[in-house]
This record gives sequence, C-alpha cells and structure tokens, in this order.
Amino acid sequence: MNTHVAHDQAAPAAPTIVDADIRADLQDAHASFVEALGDPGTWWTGAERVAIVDEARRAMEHAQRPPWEAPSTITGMIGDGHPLPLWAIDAVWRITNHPGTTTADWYASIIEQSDADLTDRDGARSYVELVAVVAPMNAIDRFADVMGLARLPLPAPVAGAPSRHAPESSVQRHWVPTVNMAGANVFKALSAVPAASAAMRPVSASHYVPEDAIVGDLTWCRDTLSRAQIELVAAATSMANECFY
Amino acid sequence: MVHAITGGDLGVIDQHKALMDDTIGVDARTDAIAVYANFSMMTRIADATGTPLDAGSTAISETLRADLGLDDFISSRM
Repeated sequence: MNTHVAHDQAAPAAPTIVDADIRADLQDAHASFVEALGDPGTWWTGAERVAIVDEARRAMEHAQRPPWEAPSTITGMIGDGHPLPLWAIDAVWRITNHPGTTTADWYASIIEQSDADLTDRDGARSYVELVAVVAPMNAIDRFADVMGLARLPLPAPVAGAPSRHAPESSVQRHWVPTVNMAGANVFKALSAVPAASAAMRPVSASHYVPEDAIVGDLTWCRDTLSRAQIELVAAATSMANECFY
Repeated sequence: MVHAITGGDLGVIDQHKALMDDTIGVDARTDAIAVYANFSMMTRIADATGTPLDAGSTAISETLRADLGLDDFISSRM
C-alpha cells in the first residue's frame, strides 16, 4: 500500500489521500465530495456542513450505543456552543449508527424539533441536505476504514450564506419532500435539494456502476467483479443494514 | 466479507481481505469494498428519507420479501 497525504498546490486547505492501488475515479469522487463540504450548502453553512461530518465520525466511535440513546439525552455528550442544533446531532447519530431503525414517527419528531428550532431555514429541506452529507460520508469513511486507509481530512469552512434554493417540491411517497421526476425512488429521495443530490451521484457511480447502467445495462462491470457479484455484495450490505428498500 | 465488516472485528476483516486477495485479486477486493461502502450510503439515504419501494418492485418482490423476512424489518414501508 502506497498511502500518503498530498496537498493540492491550488487548494492547500483541501488535502487528499492518494493511494496508487485504488482507481483514480474513486479517489477523485471522494476528494471532490469532501472538498465541497467546506462550501456553503443550500441550507447549511460550510462550517455547519463540516460539523455534520465531525458528528458522523464521532457517532461511529459510539456505534455500540443503542438507537434510543440520542446524544442530546446524555449528559455531557454535547458541549456548549456546538455549531449544530440538537435535532441535527441526534439525526446524524441515528442515520450513521442505526439507519434501519428510523421510522415515520422518528422523522416527524425530528422535523417538529427542526421547525421549532430554526427560524431562517426550512426544516425538512435542511434535513434532506443533512442526509446528503451524512450518507456519502458514511460511504467514504467506511471505505477508508475497511481498506486500512486514513480518513480524508476535512476542509476549512468557506464563509458565506447558504443558497436556500428550493425548487417546487412536496411530500409525495417519501417522508421528505421530493420534486416530480423520473427514476428510482432512492434517486428522488434527495431531489428537494438538487445540489446535494448532484454531489452524491459521482460517489455512487464510482463505487457501484454508472447511473445509466443500473437498469440500462445489467452486464456492465469493471472486469473485476461481474455484475452478479456486485449485486450480491449490494444485497448482503442492504440485508446487514436491515434496509427494506 | 460484508458480515466480517459489520461484525467489526479487524482481525476477521483482515482475514477476509487476504482470502479475497488470494482468490479474486486485489482490484476485485477493492471494488467489492467500494460496493459495500456504496450501499452503506444508499441504505442510509433510503431509510433516512422514508423511500418507498419502486412501483415495479412491489409485486415481483413479494415472495422474496416473505422468504427473507424483509417485511418484518423496522424499515419496511409498504
């Protein structure tokens, strides 16, 4: 393994991990996603988006805690002056450590708290962006952990206000609002925050198969694993996470 | 490999990685871990957003869901 930390001369605040044994498109997808975390998002600032990842990483260190032990209910777990609201911290931990235990009631309680807590942003769409940060970082960090690589360092936050871009969307079949669009339901899930949805897609394509080949070419592969072997790993992971979808 | 990873024992994970390197090669092992990581992401997106089964999957998955007990998952959304 030839792992080292390299600093991009053009962007010294965004170091990347380079490993000669890993496909370049995979490393590029990881680096691009992580670098963009420091930028202002749609509903969260750059500092808040980085804090969301910090919380996801802290949650992983407490993976054995049961789902009903939300960090906001444990004395001393969240320090004063934390940049994130309590509901967001609880959501990050639940999604990171116990994704298969989320329910409609749990989601409703999170949104109720977010709507009460936030005065300048939309609770449901803020939650969607939070999911769009936490879930890809689970992929990127868990890949590094299993491969025995260092996790990517997080970028310095960039100052600026969130865009608050909110395309027309509504609650339809998901718990969260979605826009009207074609495609698999899981790809609609983040559609209420288009920038966040777009940021996730290269991560998926580099880890799995290109989006147009998911159902469009059932023989597509990288000549390492067959498509059937890819789907077996996918199914086993989904089963291990008790994911119904 | 997936069950070794979710089990969390680093020694067992390393054993499985070595076995995969010997049988399918390093590149295939890396791609398998990448697929595992991807579905660590997609399952979290689906379950955190209440994503329902796609219309075309509901009927054709009925027997499979019953055989594997998937309808009993907390995350079941029919």
